[in-house]
Amino acid sequence: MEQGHATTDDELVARLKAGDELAFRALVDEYTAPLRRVARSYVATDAAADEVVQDTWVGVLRGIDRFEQRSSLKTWIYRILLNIARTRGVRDKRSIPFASLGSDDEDGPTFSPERFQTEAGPYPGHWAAFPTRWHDQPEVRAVGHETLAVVRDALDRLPPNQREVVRLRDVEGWSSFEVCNALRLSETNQRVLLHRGRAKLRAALEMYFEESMSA
Amino acid sequence: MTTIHEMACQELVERVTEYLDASLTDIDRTRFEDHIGECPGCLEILEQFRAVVQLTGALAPELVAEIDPPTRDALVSAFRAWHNQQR
Repeated sequence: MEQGHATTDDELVARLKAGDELAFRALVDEYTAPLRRVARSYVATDAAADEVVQDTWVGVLRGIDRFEQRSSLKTWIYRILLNIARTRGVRDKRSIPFASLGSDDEDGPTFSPERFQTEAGPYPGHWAAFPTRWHDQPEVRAVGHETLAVVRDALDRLPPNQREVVRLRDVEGWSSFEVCNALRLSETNQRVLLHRGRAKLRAALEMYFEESMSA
Repeated sequence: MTTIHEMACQELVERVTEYLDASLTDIDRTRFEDHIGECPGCLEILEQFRAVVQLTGALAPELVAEIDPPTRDALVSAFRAWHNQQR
């Protein structure tokens, strides 16, 4: 196999359809870890996530002959995974964590209006007081375990649709195009979910830094 | 003073993700950049969102282990069986 060249989807799909074990093996190696990571956010245990991933590969085997490449191979595989993981998550009652904070509204501002000057102020809509600089936080410059724990915890508590988008965009590093395709979201909707999710993570970190400064 | 064309801080903070995704219109991107050029508070928020993205990205390696060889072998066997069935 050629190294250092991304195998094109066409080539890879053709090889899979032809039963090329090396191609399948490479696919499994490449995708299993990220698939597991995504699956794990829907189900309650590592073992359940492993099952979801295995079922996904079975789904890939069952479907590859009929796969017409209207989407990329990656998108297609993730759609299979997401279908299985969501169904399984609902069965396990994990798809909506009780820890989700507040209502899942998607209209209100992500920053409290109190942080800005009102009409009575000299500059309405501008900061009442500037936010504290994070650059001075040693935790940000040398990322500590505690900081990551704050992020992970806040991510787990996001409403499911926001968590899903943040996870794919920022943990897995997908493009907005890929996320829109896999989750069948409009670009606008995807961006709103991403922004609201990120804003909550930002707020969680801000609170954490403020607490550690006053401690 | 706020003019019609200026982007207020309260609007800017809601559009950071659009800015980072390069999906603002040319006019709005100019408004955005003009604003952060002059407003340390909003520049800070932009930096904070960048830090959030970076920190969230740093979660990836911790969340998962690689596939274990027996599982992979089982999958490859299933693939072989599938292919034999096709013929």
